[in-house]
Amino acid sequence: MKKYGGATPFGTKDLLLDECRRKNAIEKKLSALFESRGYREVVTPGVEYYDIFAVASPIPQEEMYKLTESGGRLIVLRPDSTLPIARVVATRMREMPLPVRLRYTQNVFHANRADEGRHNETTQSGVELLGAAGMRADIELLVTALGAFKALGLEGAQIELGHVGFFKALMSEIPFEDGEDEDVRRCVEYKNYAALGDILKKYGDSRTEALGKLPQLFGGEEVLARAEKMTQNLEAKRILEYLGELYGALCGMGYRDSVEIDLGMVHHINYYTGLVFRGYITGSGSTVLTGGRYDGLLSEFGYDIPATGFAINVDQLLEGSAPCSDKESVPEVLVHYEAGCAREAYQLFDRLVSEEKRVLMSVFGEMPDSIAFARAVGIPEIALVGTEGIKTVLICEG
Amino acid sequence: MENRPLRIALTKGRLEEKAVQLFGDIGYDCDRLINKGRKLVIDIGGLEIVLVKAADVITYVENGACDMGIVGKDTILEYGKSFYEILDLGFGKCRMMVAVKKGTDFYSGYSRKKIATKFVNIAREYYNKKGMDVDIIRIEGSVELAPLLGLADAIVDIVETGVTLKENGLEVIEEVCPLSARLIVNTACMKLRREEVLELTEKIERWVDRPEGR
Repeated sequence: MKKYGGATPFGTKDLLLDECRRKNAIEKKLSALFESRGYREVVTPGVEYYDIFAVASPIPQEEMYKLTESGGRLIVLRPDSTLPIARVVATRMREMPLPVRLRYTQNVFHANRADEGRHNETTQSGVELLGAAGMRADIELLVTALGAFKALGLEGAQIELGHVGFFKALMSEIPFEDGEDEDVRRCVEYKNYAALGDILKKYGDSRTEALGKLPQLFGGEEVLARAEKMTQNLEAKRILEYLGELYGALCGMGYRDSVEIDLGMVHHINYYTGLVFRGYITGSGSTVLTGGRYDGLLSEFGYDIPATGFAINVDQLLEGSAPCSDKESVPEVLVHYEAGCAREAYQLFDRLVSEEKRVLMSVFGEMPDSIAFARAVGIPEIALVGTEGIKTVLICEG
Repeated sequence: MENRPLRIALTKGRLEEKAVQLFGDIGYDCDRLINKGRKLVIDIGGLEIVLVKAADVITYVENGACDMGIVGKDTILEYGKSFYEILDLGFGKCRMMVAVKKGTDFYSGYSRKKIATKFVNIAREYYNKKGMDVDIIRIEGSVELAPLLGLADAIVDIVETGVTLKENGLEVIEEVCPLSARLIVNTACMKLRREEVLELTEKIERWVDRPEGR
């Protein structure tokens, strides 16, 4: 065996048996829900030209796996599905009436640092709503995301709403020095109150009050009222009003306990242009759902339409899901047949399958071998198909 | 996850004593932390404490195996990525410094400079910002030795008192950044258990602002 002949690369893993079954079940539920809401499936290549992700991607280049195509062009393992879908829509779906609703379930690749327990290959299932701006489109996305949690039976899952425009409006008031705006953004994103205060100190109190409190502005509806009192910026006020209306609409649909607000969500502010949201489930230490509005993205591909979408990390849901008991996958009947009885045996097999029995065909020629196999696997019963008909042999344990 | 108490990762060693004092002062039963024996997860009455190495605090908190952590800013800068850094705890204060052999001019000449450090990411970031292309050499302990033996032109390291530097004939030429202990929180936990986290944070904040802490 070669040195790495027995391992999988960093951050990747094999999924076996029951794990596959649980993963399929999750994907099926999500696909069915998205399909039922009019989102149709697209599949994009596993590799894309690097140029697509160099334009507007929120993914830093060091986190992309790169290869060269014959001819020397740089390609990457798909690090995200939204940009490829933007490319598809901008190049091949321009004739479709807007809005276009698309869904996908495919793997994405991130070159994370080794040995930190992160996954470098993950399956994402998500939707994109392209060519629709405004509150109704945002509501649809959020309701679909909440519906996804419900379809998966995830009690206590939460979605938090933010809006990058609020942060941008507050920032526009202060003449930051070069690079300082990024420092401020980082402090807000990581809720680093102390460092944020240090930076803002020199700009005085009145203009920076809301900005300084931004890391704390998360929670329920009261957050919006608190934020409203802290700023005089009209754009910021308009956004708070928008979020209030959105939040109210979701509460009206009975989602009050599942929706929170975090005005300090300021990740990827050059990519997102409006509403941003994230989903959390109990038992998972990181976000399982991320989404938002990215109205500027499609115009990078020459098709200027608004768009919004979200992706769910299926692998993380899988980690949180309870393993099925092995009992459920053990066959109930093993079919063994004597020489010359293959036709009858497969007839019986098909009948049992149609009765929704879990059944397995024995490939052993001798009955003692089939019995030993049934015992090892835990199959309780053998159907013995012979020239004289079908006999049932019960296998006692041990 | 919902039902267990908040689990907090503390950094072993330099920051340990103060962190234990903190939890004692705000009303937890820290006898068990002081006489912990071989136990790894210690219940101090409503909170679970684990004591781990600095970099591991970050790993446990990022992955959600621990909800909160107390760790030095140096470790955060070196390893950290996605968690909330919500409080400067004000203890464990020291500085990340650049030091050279006394009397040498680090910036003279055009040869590519070599920097020995335990904190390779911090050093790389610092020289990136300066626009200076340097070689970074990872050293695990007694970094002061590297310039003395001619392995490096300078070191980037934590300086508390400066005594070790002085005794080895080194001098500080620049400060990279000030450091202290920080309270960090897992991002999902901050949202899903907001009230518990904020309640504890407020208690800790009051402790940080206590008169004798200033």
